[in-house]
Amino acid sequence: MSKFDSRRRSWRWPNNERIAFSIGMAFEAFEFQSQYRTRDTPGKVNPLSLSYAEYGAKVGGWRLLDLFDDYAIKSHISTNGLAAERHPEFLAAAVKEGHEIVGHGWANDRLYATMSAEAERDDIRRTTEAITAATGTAPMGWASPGASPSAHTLDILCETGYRWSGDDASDDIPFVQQVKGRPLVILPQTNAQHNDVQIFLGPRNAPSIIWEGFKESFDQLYREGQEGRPGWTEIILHCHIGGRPVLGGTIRKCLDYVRQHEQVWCTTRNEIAAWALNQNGSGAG
Amino acid sequence: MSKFGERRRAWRWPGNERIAFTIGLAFEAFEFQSQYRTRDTPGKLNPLSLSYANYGANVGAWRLLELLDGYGLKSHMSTNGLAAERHPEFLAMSVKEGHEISGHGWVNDRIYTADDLETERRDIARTTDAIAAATGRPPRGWTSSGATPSVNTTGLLAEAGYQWSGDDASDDLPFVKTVGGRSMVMLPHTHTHQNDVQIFLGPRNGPGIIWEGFKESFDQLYREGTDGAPGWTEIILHCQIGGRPVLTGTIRKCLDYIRSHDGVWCTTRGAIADWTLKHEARTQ
Repeated sequence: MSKFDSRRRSWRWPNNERIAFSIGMAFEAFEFQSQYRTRDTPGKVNPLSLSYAEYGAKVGGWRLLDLFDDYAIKSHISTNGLAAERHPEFLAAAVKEGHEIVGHGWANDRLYATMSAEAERDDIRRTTEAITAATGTAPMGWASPGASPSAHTLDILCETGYRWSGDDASDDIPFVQQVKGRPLVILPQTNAQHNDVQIFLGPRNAPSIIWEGFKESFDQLYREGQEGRPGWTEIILHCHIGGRPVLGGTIRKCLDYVRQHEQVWCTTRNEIAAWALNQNGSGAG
Repeated sequence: MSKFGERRRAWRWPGNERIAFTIGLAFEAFEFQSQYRTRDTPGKLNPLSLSYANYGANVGAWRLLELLDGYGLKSHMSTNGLAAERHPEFLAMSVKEGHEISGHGWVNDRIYTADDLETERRDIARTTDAIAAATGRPPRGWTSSGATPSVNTTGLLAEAGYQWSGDDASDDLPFVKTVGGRSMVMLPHTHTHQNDVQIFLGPRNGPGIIWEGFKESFDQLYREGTDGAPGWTEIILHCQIGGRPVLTGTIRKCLDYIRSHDGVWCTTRGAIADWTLKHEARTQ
């Protein structure tokens, strides 16, 4: 045990695994522009930029479903309501494969920071309805579009019946927060350096940057897990980004690395959330 | 075939090749500033930044013509109208070498929004005329300046008689779109991580990033092509960027890698557009 061990929250995974690993996809739609553009044109349609996002439903989403089928791995899919409305067949296929659908706002370039609470509530409701219509089940978890929740988001999520939120970056393990008297699981972004829009497309880095960040995170957490302080790490791949050929080899490299290790809990966000609630009993926190 | 293979469009190349490869150059001119600058000064002239673009016609374009000649490769050249007006001799030489000239807006730092319909129509006409004057024929294809088309662009291109547009990023394969009652072949960006302005100059990465992205894309698509689902990958080099000595070795590495593979259709965008119309007609 390290000198400052007692300063960190004590934690374990269901079978005392040294580390938990999950993988997330994002299935997105946009109103004006996607993350692929040479100029920022908020509020003005950039058709080329929008077409970049269409790659997800045409090609990339299916390529990732194939890859996950190969590795027998289940993911969560952060899904914009507009994408669910346009492509219910993709979500239905994903659910059939065992993947979990997560709410992700109506359009990914419509951010809550600039909306009224009423408009945000309506956006969350519409998104939830579109996903439920496409998949038959209401989503259990939420991750705000553009990673930009507002001060109202948690309250609205609780009201709407969500059980977990991914709008946090404060830890390597989940925790429970009391929101309007009910326990809401918070799943922090343990994917910050292995998120294909943040680290690869945004800054226009090489594919290997995802491998580098992932291996570093994994190795450090695995070491700590061996010493009784297990953590959680995750990779995020957007269907229109990580679903492109340029990242195929790198994703396989990461997944092969996970497989080479014992005592890894390969799981999903819903399972992690359920475990977190279990650990916390009534959510005393 | 993979589990979700049938969800993707059925496709083949003319000789049943596993992958198609093209190379594109860009021959550009700017009004105020090029992509090389330490500060953004839209609407204000930055002479040093503009001079960066002049490297193309002075040095870089000739270096690239030489390189492509060495490999026996034909390219398409996205050409700004102003560049065609200033340097018709380069374009005439390129056409003589077998390269295809495509339209690319009047100047690369001018983009259009939905409200600029008439200006955009006029600039498309000016660009088309300048290229026709330099090369003896109007361009067949178009890719918008600054990779930023407006909602009007595809309609204007169809009106002007263009056969293909590169203003799309939704696939690894071409497709046909009906615009104003006419067929327009869409040639998506299959070069997103192999485009020297986007991945090298813009983010100021090492030259190796072009090799890395290219090899990864090529390998994945080649594997899929071997399994019966071929795709297309492309490298884009701007005469003022990829034409500089810093990238020559990397370009050679990419081209040597292609040469070391069987079953590659080394072709041009014009030929891909022609094949797409044929394939579309057949599968209908």
